[in-house]
Amino acid sequence: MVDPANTKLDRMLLDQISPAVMVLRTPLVEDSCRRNDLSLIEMLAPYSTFNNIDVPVRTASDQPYRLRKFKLRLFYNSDIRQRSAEAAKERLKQVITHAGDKNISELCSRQAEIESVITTAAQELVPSWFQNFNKELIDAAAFSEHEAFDHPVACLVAVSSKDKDPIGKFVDLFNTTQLPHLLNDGSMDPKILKYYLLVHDNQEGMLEKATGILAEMRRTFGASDCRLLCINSSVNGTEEYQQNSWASHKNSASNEKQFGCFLNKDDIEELRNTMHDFSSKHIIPHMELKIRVLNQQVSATRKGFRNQIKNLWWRKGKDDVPENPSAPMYTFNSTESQIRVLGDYAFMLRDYELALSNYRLISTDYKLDKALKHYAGVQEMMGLAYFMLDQSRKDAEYCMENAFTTYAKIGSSCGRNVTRCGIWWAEMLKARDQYKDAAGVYFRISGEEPLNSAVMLEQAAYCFLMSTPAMLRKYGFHLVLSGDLYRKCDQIKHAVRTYRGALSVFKGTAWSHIRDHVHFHIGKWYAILGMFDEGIKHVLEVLACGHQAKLTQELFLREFFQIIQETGKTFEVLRLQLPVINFPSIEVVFEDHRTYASPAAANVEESLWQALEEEMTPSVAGLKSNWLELQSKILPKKYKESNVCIAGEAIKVAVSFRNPLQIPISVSNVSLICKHSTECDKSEPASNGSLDEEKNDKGLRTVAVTGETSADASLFDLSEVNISMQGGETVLVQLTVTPKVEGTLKLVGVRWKLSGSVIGICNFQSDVVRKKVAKGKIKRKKSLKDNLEFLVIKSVPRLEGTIHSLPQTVYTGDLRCLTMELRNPSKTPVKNLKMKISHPRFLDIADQEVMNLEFPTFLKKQTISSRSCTTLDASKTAKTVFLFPKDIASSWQTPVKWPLWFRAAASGSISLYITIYYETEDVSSIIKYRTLRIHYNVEVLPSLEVSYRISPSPSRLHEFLVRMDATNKTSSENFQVHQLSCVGDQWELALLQPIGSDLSLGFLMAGQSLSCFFRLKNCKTRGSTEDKMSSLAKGIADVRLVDSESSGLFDTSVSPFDLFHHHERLHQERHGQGDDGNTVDFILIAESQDDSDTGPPRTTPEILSHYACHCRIGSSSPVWWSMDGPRSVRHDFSSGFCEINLNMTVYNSLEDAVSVRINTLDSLPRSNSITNTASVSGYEHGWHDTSHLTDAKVTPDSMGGRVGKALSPESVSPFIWSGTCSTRFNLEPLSSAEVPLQISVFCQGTFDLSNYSLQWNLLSGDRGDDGNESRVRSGSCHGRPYHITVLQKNKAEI
Amino acid sequence: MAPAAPKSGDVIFASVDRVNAELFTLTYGAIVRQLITDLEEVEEVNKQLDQMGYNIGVRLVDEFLAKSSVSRCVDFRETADVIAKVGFKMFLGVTASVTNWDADGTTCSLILEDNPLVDFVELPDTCQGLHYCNILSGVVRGALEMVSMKTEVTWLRDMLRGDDVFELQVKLLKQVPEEYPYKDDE
Amino acid sequence: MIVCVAVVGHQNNPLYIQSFTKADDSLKLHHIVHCSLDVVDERVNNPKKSGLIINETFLGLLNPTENYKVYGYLTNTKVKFILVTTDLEVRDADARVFFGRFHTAYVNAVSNPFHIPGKKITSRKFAERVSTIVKSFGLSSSS
Repeated sequence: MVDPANTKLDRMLLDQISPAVMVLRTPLVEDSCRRNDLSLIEMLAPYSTFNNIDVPVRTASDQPYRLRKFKLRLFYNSDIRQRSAEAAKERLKQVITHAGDKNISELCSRQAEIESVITTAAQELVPSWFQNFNKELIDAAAFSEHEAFDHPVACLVAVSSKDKDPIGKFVDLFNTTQLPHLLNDGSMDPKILKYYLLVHDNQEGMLEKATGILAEMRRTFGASDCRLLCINSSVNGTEEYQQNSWASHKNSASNEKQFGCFLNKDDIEELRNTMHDFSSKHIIPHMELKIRVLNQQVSATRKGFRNQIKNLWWRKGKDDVPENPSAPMYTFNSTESQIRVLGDYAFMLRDYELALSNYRLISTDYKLDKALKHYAGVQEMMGLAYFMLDQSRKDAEYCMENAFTTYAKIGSSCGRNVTRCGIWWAEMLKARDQYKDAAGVYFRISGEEPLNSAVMLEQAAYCFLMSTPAMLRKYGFHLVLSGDLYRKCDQIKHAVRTYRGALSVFKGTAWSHIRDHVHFHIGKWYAILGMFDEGIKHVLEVLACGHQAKLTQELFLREFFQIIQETGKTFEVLRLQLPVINFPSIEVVFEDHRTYASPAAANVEESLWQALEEEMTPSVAGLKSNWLELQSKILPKKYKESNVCIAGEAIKVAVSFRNPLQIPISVSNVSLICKHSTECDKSEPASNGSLDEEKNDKGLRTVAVTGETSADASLFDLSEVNISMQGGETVLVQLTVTPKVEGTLKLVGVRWKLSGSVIGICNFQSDVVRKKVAKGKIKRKKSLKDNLEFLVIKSVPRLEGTIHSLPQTVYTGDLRCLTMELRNPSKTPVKNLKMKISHPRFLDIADQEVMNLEFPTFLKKQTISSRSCTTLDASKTAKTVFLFPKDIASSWQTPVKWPLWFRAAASGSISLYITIYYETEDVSSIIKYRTLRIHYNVEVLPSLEVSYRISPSPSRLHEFLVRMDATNKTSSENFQVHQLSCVGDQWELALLQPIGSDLSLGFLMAGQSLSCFFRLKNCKTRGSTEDKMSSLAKGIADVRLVDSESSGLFDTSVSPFDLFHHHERLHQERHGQGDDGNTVDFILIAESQDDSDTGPPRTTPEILSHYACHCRIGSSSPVWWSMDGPRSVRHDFSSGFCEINLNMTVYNSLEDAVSVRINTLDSLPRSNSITNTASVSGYEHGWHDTSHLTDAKVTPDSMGGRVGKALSPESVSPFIWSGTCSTRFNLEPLSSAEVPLQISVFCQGTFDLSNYSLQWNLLSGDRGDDGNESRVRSGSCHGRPYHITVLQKNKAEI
Repeated sequence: MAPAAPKSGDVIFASVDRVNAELFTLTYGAIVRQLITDLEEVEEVNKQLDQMGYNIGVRLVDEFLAKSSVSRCVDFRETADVIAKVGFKMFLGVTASVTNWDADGTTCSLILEDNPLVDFVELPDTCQGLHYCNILSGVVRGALEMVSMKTEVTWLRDMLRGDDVFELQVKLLKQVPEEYPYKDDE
Repeated sequence: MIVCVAVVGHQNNPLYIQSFTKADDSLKLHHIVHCSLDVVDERVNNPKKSGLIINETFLGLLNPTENYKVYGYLTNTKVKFILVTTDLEVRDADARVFFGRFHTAYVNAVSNPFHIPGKKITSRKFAERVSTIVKSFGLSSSS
């Protein structure tokens, strides 16, 4: 607990509650004081305060005590009265304005962080002018008649030695001059201690005269009460004091040198002595005396039981007397005011017990008298006394509270007293660290008078800050409140100050609603003060206020632009939040040796292209991943890391802006900021409005708008974009910079102009971007900073290529002839072009002469003779890099056209990548070669779904039944199935039933499905085996599926059919299981029946070709056989069983001789049949949609299975194989043999003769090991079902 | 024939062991959120959910058939009924109603008044177009495919999009003959 | 009548503030809610002084700022609910009932998988529920 004797409150009380002295003086005295630029009071003031006046004091109690601190308050008689309201307000106002002007300087200072605010001691935080302000407030309440400590204790009469008849002056100064009403209206004792001071000015007049006068005075007024005061003894008014004691007392800041410039040491000493003598020898004893006298009277009249009773009774009687408020109800000689005086004197002499006891005594009386004002005053004093005694703080607070409320109850007349009491109360609480309560008190003080309330609220705020724990939010809140009040009585500087304080609270938090409000108003007020930079800085904070209501956003924006207009300048703002750039979406596209035909191609990721270009790019490049390494020998070292771009070719940067607001904004002149420097002067880069680092920290600067972007158009061009964004819209802006001369180009940032007034600038070198690039959006694993460094080299030719009339959407199998066009705008030619296509299955090179043939008719058979039948050579298709012939590449001013075959091989969305490699003629350039990258997306819709099923023909050898199922999957297209061809040397294909049987054959409406049967004949015979190549063309079998003779068959043996057939084979190889000689490839060619043939942009295809490769034909075994014999036999079983002769033809399709063995087995065990069926089901693959019969796999188990199934009705086989149960014979390659068989049947019925098996193995043991160990050397097959019906022959027929 | 569907549904639901509903809901929610963050496309999320549902369905159907002694359904109508009354009750604890049969009895709608998946759920504006419960459609599809019905399941109404109920349209594409499809004659 | 309800996260960041007055005093209400956090902190930091039982979520009357009464509620996850009302006399029971309902509403809102914990509550459902709860304020235990 702090000792109350040295708290702030104590100091205040010393100032406020201390003996008052009325000063009367003649004008001449004032004049002589004026020499020092001081009034008499001002001159005496410093010496009327005693920090240690060591005077023994004896009040009511007998033992004396020593008084340390003491002070006299000097007033001219004219000032001893309450100030008028206006005057008081005026003084307050001036105090505040003065204070505001004083701390205008720190308004621009750095914003304090809230942490630091907490830690800083309250002293430097709380503005120092609060004391003055409070003092003014308290002084305003002074000299009310209801309290005695303001009543003058003594009267100081000062007469100059130059006055004629000084004695007379002394007398009538007191009598004539207008005395304050306090003395007249009897509220205080007019008999007052007088002290006569003769002021002598040494500048004029002799001291002797003065002494003479003094002697006379002594005679008239008594020796003790007179004194001579000599001043202005210094000869020339040049006295200097290092610490000027007057300056602190005169708050009007005039030049402080003159104060006391005529006073030398002795004068000051004399002044001091005078005041000391005055107070210690006269005032204090006087007060002591008075206290003792009064004390005796009081104790006589009021102490003791009898007096109490009498007093009470007397008051009762006094009640009914109507009291008139005009005249003071207590005259000075009334007991109450005597007690009050007693109390106050005791208080002023720091005898607080005495004071307190008297206050207690009197307060009840006042209460009974309902003299509220007096009562309150006494309560107030009691509170203070309690505090000074430092006992029972509860009582102290209770008294203060009581006084406060009472004053408040009285109403507006006591407003000042309320304030004063409140201030003292708050001080008391503060002295006891009850800051929160103090804040509450301040809050209560703040009345309707806005200026006072503003200050009080601010003090309350600081109290909250200093309370433990600090209540920051309340601190902020009250600062804001007081700020608003300051604003109301246009103390804008103070308003800004408080708001700044509040801002420190709200800065970090998520309470954006409040924060924006604070920022916004600070900005506005700064603008009013004319400090636009600060203002804009603050308003900028709230610009990106997406969370605010629409109206608020408009308000903010409007204010912002208004401020901007007021400044008249154009501001350039770093990281302007409007619109917002979202960095992760920044993309830089530039072309060094890679050039892109379309932006789409640029977006394809690099690795894909590199994989494509691997074979073409020169092998000199050790690692193609980073092409720059290759150039390192040519390039200076510093460029190694930087990208290369070519002069005259644009660098594209895609930046996406987002408008956070709900209101549309217009953004204009969006452009890149670039820094270009030519090699020759690397020292000073020709910068273009780019921001240097030191500019970054001060985020705001004014620029001359004109000439900014066009600074050095000689070096590069910038594209400017204007966009207008709706609320919440995101716009992707394509910005380009085109360097014109060689050197290094650096993309620094992007700049834009917000609705024509504010230039926003955003640097790319912010960490946001770096992080993102580390993620690897742009080229390599370099940071974006490096990625934005470009080495500009001199221009090299750049090819442009397009593929004409490449359809967006096609149907599966669509076959087209496209033309690719390559242009070279530059004069310098390029040489040895190469091309590679990512999906040869879809797109492949055609021969150039295809260009001048018209498609597709030249593919028809009859036109074969006209053109050289180019068969596809394996070499061309093996390596997919296509070399353009030299003659084209050497010279071209005209664009070069080259045909391409396009076929939509599979449905889905296909993206085709084409790269064209070419080299530049001139060796000087850094870039030796370039690649043109073309990218297309094609959407392929399903058209015909075709599936084939081949089963061996039961009747004939070498023949198979082919069932083709075609379903039209499209929704609208109609197709005409044109022809089916099977590729391969040894096949012949024919329709099962002749064409024209039904005309609708091969015409497929949308969604329709069709199935037709073919006979596939294997025409591989001995002799045709050796020269396979020669007999390639003849073997091909095409079947026309249209009845109209007009449309000829297509020749499937030539490009593009064979070309794509090759690719299809390669493609389907993967999931087809290996290719032994027993697979067939089918090509189905269909035409689309498009009646909508009008208009060149035709989307419907002309020709569709569908390839089905590796369709397995019937048997997997190389040995084929067929059984023939009678299908039905009539026999008379009465004459024994029936013998039937059968004949089996066995054919060996292999090039080697095999030995075949036929086993006939009579009975089959049940068991294996079941197991087999199980295993069979296991064998079946997924259920296929279009063909309702599956391919017959002649695998041993499945056969067995079928046997089992077939057998299931009968229990035991009713027939047996007669003759040998097994036959063995040898078969020459590609030859057949007849084997006779015989069965014996016992009863009539239909029998399935499938219970035999055929085993074969290669004879070629000696030449078997010719490398192909892979193929099967032996196998066994079960017999195929052969049904025979035996009927009973009845005699009657014979 | 299936036993009296709704009753048996309740019985089974009573018999199966449970998990806390909140846990279930939150788990599913977490999955969906993760999917959204992983593959930013809402459409992708729908696909993924459907796929997950499908995978669940193909496993779930066995348990379903085992626990609920539902015998072969004669036709699609009955199947739908069983799903609605037994299946949903058994696994979600709610019963759906079957309506909106089309003429040839291959398309119907399962109406879910309440759906434990979507408690607390509220679609943000960023992913409108998300079928939050798409996993259910996947489950139905997968389960039906296991009993050899190729179906197409789509959401017609979604409470998360402000509709009053969940409506799941089940459309029978193809009934695959279950018997072994191959004859050995030609 | 209830003027404003607010949800404040455990870092004292506003998650949800809804005012139910016609007048445009949202700023003022923001301030009031914000200030009341000071009191919440005070109560939480020295519970015994403010007579707060451990695990008691209802904080009672926080402070009567000018002509408003502010009640507080603190979940165990340090999420604060603030209730600002103009009623002159409010029964604690009513406040408790209100906060109880409000809490459940909040729980449902945050268990929406699309709600990110610690971010603002943007749920419409929640807003509707809150408004109904606010409407029914005081009616519940009046009988």
